[in-house]
Amino acid sequence: MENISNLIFGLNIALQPANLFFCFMGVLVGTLIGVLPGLGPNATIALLLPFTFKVPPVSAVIMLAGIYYGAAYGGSTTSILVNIPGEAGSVITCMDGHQMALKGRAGPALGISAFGSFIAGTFGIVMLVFLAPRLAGMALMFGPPEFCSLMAMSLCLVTFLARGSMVKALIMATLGLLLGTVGMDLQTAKVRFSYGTPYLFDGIPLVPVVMGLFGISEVLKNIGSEVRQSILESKIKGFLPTLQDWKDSAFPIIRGSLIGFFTGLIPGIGLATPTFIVYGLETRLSKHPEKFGTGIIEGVAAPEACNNATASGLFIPLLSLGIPGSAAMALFLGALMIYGLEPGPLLISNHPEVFWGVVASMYVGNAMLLVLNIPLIPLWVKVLKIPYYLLFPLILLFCCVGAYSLNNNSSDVVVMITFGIVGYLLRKLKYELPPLVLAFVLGPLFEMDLRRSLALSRGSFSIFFVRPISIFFISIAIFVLALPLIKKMLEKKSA
Amino acid sequence: MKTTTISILTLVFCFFSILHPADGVPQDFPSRTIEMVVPFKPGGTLDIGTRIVTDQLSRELKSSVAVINKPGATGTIGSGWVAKANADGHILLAGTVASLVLSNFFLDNVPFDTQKDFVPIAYAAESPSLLVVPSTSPYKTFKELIAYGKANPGKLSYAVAGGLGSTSSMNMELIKRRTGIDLARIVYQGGGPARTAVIGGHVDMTSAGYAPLRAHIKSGKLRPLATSKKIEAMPDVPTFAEEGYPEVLVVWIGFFAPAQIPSGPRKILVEALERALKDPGTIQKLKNAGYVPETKTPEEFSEQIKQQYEMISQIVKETKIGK
Amino acid sequence: MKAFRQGLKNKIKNANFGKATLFFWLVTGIYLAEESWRLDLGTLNQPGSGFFPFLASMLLFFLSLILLVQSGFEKKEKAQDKSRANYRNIIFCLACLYVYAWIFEWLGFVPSTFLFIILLIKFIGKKSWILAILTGALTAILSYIFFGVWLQAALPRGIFWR
Repeated sequence: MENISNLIFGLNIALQPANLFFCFMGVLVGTLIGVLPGLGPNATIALLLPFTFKVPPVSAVIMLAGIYYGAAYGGSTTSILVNIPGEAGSVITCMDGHQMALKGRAGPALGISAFGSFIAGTFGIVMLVFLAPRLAGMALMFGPPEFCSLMAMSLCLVTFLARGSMVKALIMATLGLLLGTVGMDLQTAKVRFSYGTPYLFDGIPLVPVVMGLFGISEVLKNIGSEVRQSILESKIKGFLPTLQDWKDSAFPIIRGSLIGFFTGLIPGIGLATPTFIVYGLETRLSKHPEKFGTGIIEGVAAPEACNNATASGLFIPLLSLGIPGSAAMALFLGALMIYGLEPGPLLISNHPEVFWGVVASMYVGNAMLLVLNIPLIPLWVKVLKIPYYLLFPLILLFCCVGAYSLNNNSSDVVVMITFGIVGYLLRKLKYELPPLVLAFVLGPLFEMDLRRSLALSRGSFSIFFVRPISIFFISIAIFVLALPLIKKMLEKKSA
Repeated sequence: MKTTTISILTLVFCFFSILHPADGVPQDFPSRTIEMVVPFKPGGTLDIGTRIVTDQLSRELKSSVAVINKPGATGTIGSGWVAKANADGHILLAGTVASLVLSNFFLDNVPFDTQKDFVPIAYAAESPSLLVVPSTSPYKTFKELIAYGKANPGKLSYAVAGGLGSTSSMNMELIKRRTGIDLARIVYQGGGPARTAVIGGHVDMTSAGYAPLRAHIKSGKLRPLATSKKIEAMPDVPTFAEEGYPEVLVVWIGFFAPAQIPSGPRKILVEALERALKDPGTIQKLKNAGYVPETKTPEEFSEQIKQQYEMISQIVKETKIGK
Repeated sequence: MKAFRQGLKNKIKNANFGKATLFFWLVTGIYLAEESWRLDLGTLNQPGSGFFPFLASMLLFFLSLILLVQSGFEKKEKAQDKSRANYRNIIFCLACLYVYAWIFEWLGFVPSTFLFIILLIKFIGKKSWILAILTGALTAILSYIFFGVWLQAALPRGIFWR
């Protein structure tokens, strides 16, 4: 198959010593960036762009891709260890990941996260190699009505995420929707709920919010109670996943990779939404749904596999069509343009060495990351043993610096702290956070696409029901909502 | 015990205050890293152009120049920050039409007045605005599009990036009002999603800068129907003026300093930037990124900004856009 | 005896707090609905700015009503957190955080971080001044090198370094 020979061609390039070096530097820096909460790959890629001017284009892009990948791996580390999601894609990992860490099982959590990410990443790359051109076309089929239905379906998944009181979860979701409306309404140029602050024109930023809700609230909870110390210092149970862990995680990883990759093809989906979808799905498919959130390995394996697969998925529209699916991709695009490489269908034909070299380097990078991360696990686990009075100031410091570096704006830090309080109070009152985050992310997207669709159809709702993809998602949404009712009816029948 | 503690603290504190970075000996301008503020997210059109130029600028000044992104509110947060910042010449602003001209008209609570709070120090390049349709669209020329639109009101849609404060939005509004067609306005958060929607054929047209559109035009996914300024790579694309609509905005990128900058540093910066912008490597990189490099003296630049201000005021008065 | 009274006080505090939150949702729901109304609801076929927030705030209102009714029927309070939360620590920590965020740009990274760490270790960690100062200094310098120099994150200089 010609693709295989292209791959070998690419490998030849990727395995050159210089490129191996750049790849390694990239994944190293990327992992570091990923581990530090808030400091996203965007800032780093932006910073390293000038350095990469001095280096041949292929090597530069290899390094940038490595940073991006490494960051995806590293983000889960803080989620698991200290309940701080470094970026939107790691939020779900906090749920079970941190609980596992508190039970002394941080090692297996980190391990399965690394392996799961590797498997998903490899899967994504394989798909990229063989299906890139064909899949790219799929991304273009999504217009406003399709997005809207997709978001609607995802919002309905809120019901899957609720484990305790359904009403409380819905309240959280509604709150998320409301928080998402803050900011300028682009369609009408009116600013909603900003009370005059220019900072809020663009809305409340996501990353400080999740860092605060999960990370800061965790610190507050810990310094507010005397109990924490004893738990961690006694039981560190092993550094790697056990055979049972592997058995439990196998299907979640597979499902996570598949869903993550295919949703990644949809530009603009972001890294967070697929993880929510996957988590919700796993809860429903599992034989013990009530255990999710208490620290089970499936709750870590699935989202981690998912966000790596999504990351690979996002490369396809970028490299084959020149359409960036996220802010980091937009940076990539910019970088490629500066080097004179135009992404798009012409990239493959005009600069095959870039395309295939980069793709091959992703394999290499993925492998490097696994090799890098596994030995680091015992080290990370030991971090938890640092006395808390030293650890928590460091955590807070890293969060503040991370939040500040997002936009060089101390208001982001203030937002983070405020949501730390909110998160603390909500958790104390037994309200669940994931529905809030999900609605906060999806609400605005849903609303905007709804209004765009209506603008396109000049007010008619029929636009949602004549387009096949849209119909597909709506049906799933209805099915999901009706599921509890159907179940009840079936139970009544058999009674 | 308490006094000892306090004295220790004070000593340590003073120690930190005195600590200077290695280049602490006061010398001529620039005496430390220059901060070039880009009031948009990294990767955007202004950001990339700025990085290309500052790369060369740091070589001309033999001092490091760092790009700092302070995004928010269509560039007004970062620009506002520079307006209030220390005006000794080490903090500069990268600006474009959207952040410095349109914002004063269409956004509330803008914390600066471009003409009073900033002085231009260099005009770097222009990004011609193009009107594009998807390659699957039946319209081959601007005239065809307008004709169809006039004959069939309510059928066509256009994609816009951002609210009225963005240049693509402004240009589309101008076209809409001058031609009188009824177009449905589909708003997106950024240029990327807007372009994607047009490529996919979900929306009929959009107006955007040459820089981000270049790759798609070359690959054949988008067809340009008109441009605000002739582009050497595409000589058959007519300008808006040729088609009879001269009021489309010129999108420029340039660099500014706070108005109170002393004349010494200002002169040094102006000359260094002039040299940087003449460097063939920089010019080539700007072209690769889709800009049309163009230079004006700071005085000509101020004059152009003034003219754009007047033009927009006029338009706002006549057509009541945004009100 | 004292412990019993403390425990009881806490139970009451916690119970009321939960209910108070419900009323908070109710009020917020109404308030936001009103604000959304002013933002112009538009029509179903052409939603205005206020359409979604209005629906969402009404939903909030009704959901909290349901929850209120639900918890009204519960005779037993669910088992609350028996351990007494150390609110003093939490509030102090929050104060430090807010002050840190506030003076961060004005004072500069190194001095602010220095003070921040000292305060946290001394008053929450309850360790000695020497340890606090040493850790503060070490952390401030090392993190400056790490974030500011190595990772080139743009950290503010503050008034002392101009």
